[in-house]
Amino acid sequence: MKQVVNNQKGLISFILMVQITLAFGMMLFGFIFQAEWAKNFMVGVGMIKPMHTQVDYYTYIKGIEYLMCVYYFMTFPVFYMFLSKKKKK
Amino acid sequence: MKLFTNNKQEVPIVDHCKPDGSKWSITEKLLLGLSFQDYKKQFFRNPFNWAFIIIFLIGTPILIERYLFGLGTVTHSSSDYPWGLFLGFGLFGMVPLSASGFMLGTTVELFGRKDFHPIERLALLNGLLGYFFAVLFLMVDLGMPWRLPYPMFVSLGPAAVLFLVAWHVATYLSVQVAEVLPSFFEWLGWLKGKRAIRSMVLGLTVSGIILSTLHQGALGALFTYAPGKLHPLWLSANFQWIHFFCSSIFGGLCMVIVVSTLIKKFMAWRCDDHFLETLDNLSLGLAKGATLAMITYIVIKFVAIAHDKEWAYLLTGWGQYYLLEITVAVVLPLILCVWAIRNDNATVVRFAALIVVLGIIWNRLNTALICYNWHLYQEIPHWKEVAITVLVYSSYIITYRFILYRLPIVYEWKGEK
Repeated sequence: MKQVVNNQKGLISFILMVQITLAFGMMLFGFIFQAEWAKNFMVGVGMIKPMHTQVDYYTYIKGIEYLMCVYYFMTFPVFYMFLSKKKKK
Repeated sequence: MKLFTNNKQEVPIVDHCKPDGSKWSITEKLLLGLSFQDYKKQFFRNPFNWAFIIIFLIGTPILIERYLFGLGTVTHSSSDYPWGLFLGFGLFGMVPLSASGFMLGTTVELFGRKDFHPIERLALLNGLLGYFFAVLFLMVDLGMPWRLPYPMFVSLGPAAVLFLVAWHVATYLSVQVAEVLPSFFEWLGWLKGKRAIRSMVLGLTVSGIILSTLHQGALGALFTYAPGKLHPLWLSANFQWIHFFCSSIFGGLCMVIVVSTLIKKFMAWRCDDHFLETLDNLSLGLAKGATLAMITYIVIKFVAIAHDKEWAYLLTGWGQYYLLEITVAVVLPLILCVWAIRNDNATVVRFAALIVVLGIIWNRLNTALICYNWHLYQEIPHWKEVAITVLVYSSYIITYRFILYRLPIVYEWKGEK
C-alpha cells in the first residue's frame, strides 16, 4: 500500500515537473525568438499595457507577484520531493 | 610531485615526524620534504609554472606602470564606466564565488551535517582566498593602498553602501582567516592556538553568516547608485540585493565543486583516501543545495520583472540577451543538476557546476560592464587591464595551490591534533 502511495506521489511530482518545465521552456522560447504569440500574450494579459492610475499599476504588479509567489511556494516542496527521490537502478 | 610521492616514502608530509622519528623543520615542510634541488626540478617540470612565469613577466611591469602613472594608463575607465574588469570581474565576480565559506561553515558547524566535514576546510579556504584577492583587485583599482585607513577609520561615511561593503569585507576577511587558522596551526604544530580558535568556532560561523549575507546583498545594492545607467532588466532597486545574495549561494557551492574536481584531477597525491572516496557524494550533496537556490533565483528574477513591470523589455534585443543569460547560466545547469542528482552522476554535476561558475561571472560582467550605459556606448577593456587581471588571478591560483600543497585542507593531519 505504502509503495503504491509513493509511486503515485512520484508520478504526480513528475507530471508537475514536466508541466512546469514545458511552460517555462515555451515562455523562454517565445521570448528569445520573439514569437508573435509571445507578444500577443503579453498584450492580452496586460503585461505591456499602459496603466493610468497608481492604484491600477500596484494592483496589477502585486497581483502578478503574489500569483508567482503562491505558485513558487506550491512548487518548491514538490520540486524538493522530486529532487530527493533517486531513480531505482 | 607525483613522481616524488611515488618514489619517496616520507612525501607528501602528513605528520610532524619523519619515518626515522626526527621532526620536520618548517623549511622542510615548506619544501614539501624535498631538497631544494628537487623542489626546483619539480617546479620547472610543471608546464603551468612556465605559463605563470610568462604571465608575471608581462603583467608585473604593467602593474608597476599602473601605480606609477595612474589608472588611466592601463584602463579605459571614465566617468561613464567607472567599474572595469578589476571590479566587474575581480570584485563582483569573485565575491559570490567565495560564498562557499559561510555556506559550508553553517552546514557543518550549525546544522551538524558532519558528512560534509571532508570538504569544509576547502570551502573555507576558497572563501578566504576569493575575498582576499577580491580586495587585492580593489586595491589595484583604487591605488594608494596606504590611504585605506581613511575611509575605514578616519573619514567615515556610514550612509554609503560602499562603507558597509568595505567594513563587512574587512571584518569577514578576519573571520575567515580565523576559520582557516586551525589547519595552519595543525601544520605548524601549535595546538594551543588551534584549541583557542576551535573554542570560538560557533561565534565565528554565526558572524560569517551575518557578515556575508549582508555584504553579498550590499554588493548588489551598490548598483542602485546608478539607476539610470544600468539596463532595467539587470537592475531592480527592490530586489537587487536578493538577486546577488541568492546567486552567491549556488555560485559558492558550485565553485567548491569545480575546485574539488580540479584537485581530484591534478592534485590527487595530496588528498587522503577519505576525501577522494567521499567526493562524488559530497559534490552531489552540494549540487542539491545549489539546485534549490537556482530555482529560487529564477523565480525572484521574474518577480523583479513583474514588480517593475518590465515585460516589454523582454521583446527587445537586450531582453533576448537577458533570457539567454538566464537560460544558459541558470536553467541549463538546473536541468543538468536535477538529472545528475536523480541518477547519481557526479560527472554531469561537475559540468553543470562549471557552467554555473562561468554564468555567475557572466552575470556580474553584464551588470557591471556590458549592460552598464546600455543606451550610450560599449566599453572594451584595455589590453593592459586584461593583463593585470590575468596577473592577479594567476597569483590567486598560485597562492591557492601553495596552501593546498602544504596545509591539511584536503587531507587529515596524522600527528597530534
